[in-house]
Amino acid sequence: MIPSERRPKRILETLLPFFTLFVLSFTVLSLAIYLVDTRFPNLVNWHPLVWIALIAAFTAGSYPSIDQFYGWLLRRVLFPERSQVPHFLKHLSEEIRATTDLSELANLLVNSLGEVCQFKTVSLSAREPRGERYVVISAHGWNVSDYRKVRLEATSPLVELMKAAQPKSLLREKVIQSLSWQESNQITVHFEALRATCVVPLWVKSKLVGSINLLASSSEQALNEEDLLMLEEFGREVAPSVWKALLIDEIQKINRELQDSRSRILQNAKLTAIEQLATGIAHEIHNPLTIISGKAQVLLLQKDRKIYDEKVEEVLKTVVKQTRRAADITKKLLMFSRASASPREKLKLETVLEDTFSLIAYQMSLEGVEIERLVAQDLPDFFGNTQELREVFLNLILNAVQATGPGGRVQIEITFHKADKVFLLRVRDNGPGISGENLERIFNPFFTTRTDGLGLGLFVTQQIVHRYGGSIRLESEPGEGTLVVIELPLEPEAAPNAVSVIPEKGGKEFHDTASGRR
Amino acid sequence: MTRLLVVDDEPEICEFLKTFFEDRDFQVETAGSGEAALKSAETFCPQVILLDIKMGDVDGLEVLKKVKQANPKVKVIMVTALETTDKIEAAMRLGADNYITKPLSLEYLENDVREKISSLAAKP
Repeated sequence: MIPSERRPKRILETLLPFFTLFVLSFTVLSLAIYLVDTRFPNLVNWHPLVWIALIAAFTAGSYPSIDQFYGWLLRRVLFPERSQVPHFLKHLSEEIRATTDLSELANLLVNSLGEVCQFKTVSLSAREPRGERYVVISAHGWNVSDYRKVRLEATSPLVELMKAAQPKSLLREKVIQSLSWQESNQITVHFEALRATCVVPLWVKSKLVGSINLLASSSEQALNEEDLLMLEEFGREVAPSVWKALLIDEIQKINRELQDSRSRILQNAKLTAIEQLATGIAHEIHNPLTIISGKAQVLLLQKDRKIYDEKVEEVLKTVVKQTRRAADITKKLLMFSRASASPREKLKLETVLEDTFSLIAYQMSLEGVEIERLVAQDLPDFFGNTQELREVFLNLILNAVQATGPGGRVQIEITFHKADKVFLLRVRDNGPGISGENLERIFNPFFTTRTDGLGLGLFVTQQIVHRYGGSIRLESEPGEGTLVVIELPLEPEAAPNAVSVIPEKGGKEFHDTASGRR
Repeated sequence: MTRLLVVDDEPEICEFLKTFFEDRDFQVETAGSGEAALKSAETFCPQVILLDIKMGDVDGLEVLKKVKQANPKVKVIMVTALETTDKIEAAMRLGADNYITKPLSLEYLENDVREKISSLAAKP
């Protein structure tokens, strides 16, 4: 795991032993010749080959110890590079202790270890605080999409082994040697899933919170006992920080979930209150409205009636029209409440648009607004409620028409995005646009900029769109017109209390197109 | 002459519907409660019933069930203040022939009633 070895050292490492051997052999030879010459003159007659063989044997015998001696001298005394690694690990663990953000910490750990120590892959797996599984949260040397999928169950043999070996790290080769063929096969699978030859556990007291998984780039880089000790020490130092960051991350996640569910509960409570109110109002108000409108209609539709004064007729018509408008308020309020969750069926969005259009075409021609429809070919069927979707189209078209006024242009577009399986409805107008301040409140119930509007149109539209799991947004600048974009998923979420389709012969209702809608 | 029974616990609603349909040569009787409606259904033998879904004493659905049991051929149009689908769906399952929401459009109601009568004539 030594960082790149420097060339001069390699050269020295190779040359020094030879040089020493040469000097040593020369000395020994000289000494031998001297000794032989003075003490045992009769040996001088030995064959030179014998001498050469003797020296060769001496050289070969002493080479390993000389090489070892120089290795020690170079690595420990002259070029103590190994000391860089503990220093680096110490520095890294300090840095990690100062980090509380989980992904930042994990990236720092794997990338620093990977780059400085030149491992082929380094990954950090961590225990799910609310679960038992160990998940790879960051990795150096693999694709993000690959490591996201790697999970070890608490019962997996590798985790069990780590627990058994506490606090030692696991080396694949050693582990495999100590196991039966079948067990070692299982373990190999797990090592390979982690792309590691060495797994350094992270212990916090008696809890295994994760592991650092390493793969050496070559067999030369194999980790020795000393390296392992160093890595285990590093693991001990960073484990509490990793666990702390995991917990903080989890708390943040829980907090977000809590906020989400709180706002959902609030929203539901608000809806239920409005729902109850609307149901009550509808019952209490629809009867008197029915009577008022009914009596006026009786007069208007009377057979053989005398011709009324033009003014009286006008008043009667107004009575009928305005009672419908009043009834519209409760109907709209109920539109989004669960009590009126509407039956859904397969339908064509373009047909609903055409139907809506024919309802208001006459009024549009009076307003003098040019409406362009762009409907993509071969749109798939949508599973929805005609009435609800008609309400959506109607609100959007009327809003756009009322925004542009006479001579304006409105464009309605329906397309289908195949990849996301989403319908896109776009309604664009060239009206005066909406100011940023009003844009923020545009979906609030009873928010309106018109004197004749209820301020429920977009609110109800939004509720309906949400009921299909879709989204709605408005883009507008003062003077630039307005664009409404609705996205409806092809497979909408089931509506709460959605009921099956009732027979086609169902009743009809009036659409008072004159009533205000934004 | 077609016999039409109007059932609603609001007398004023019964009244204007009676005026409207009598003006169109219907024979109309009204009932202000579920109890009265069941009695009327027996004695008056209406061909079409306009039945309010929510009434004080007997639920409209209850009346629907009983009159359809007694005479499956009678056409019943439910009248409702609210389009709450569970009630309407229940009514349709019990054999109601249509439903209409308040406030009523008399033109639409008349067309619907005439349609039901012609379907009665077609399939005696």
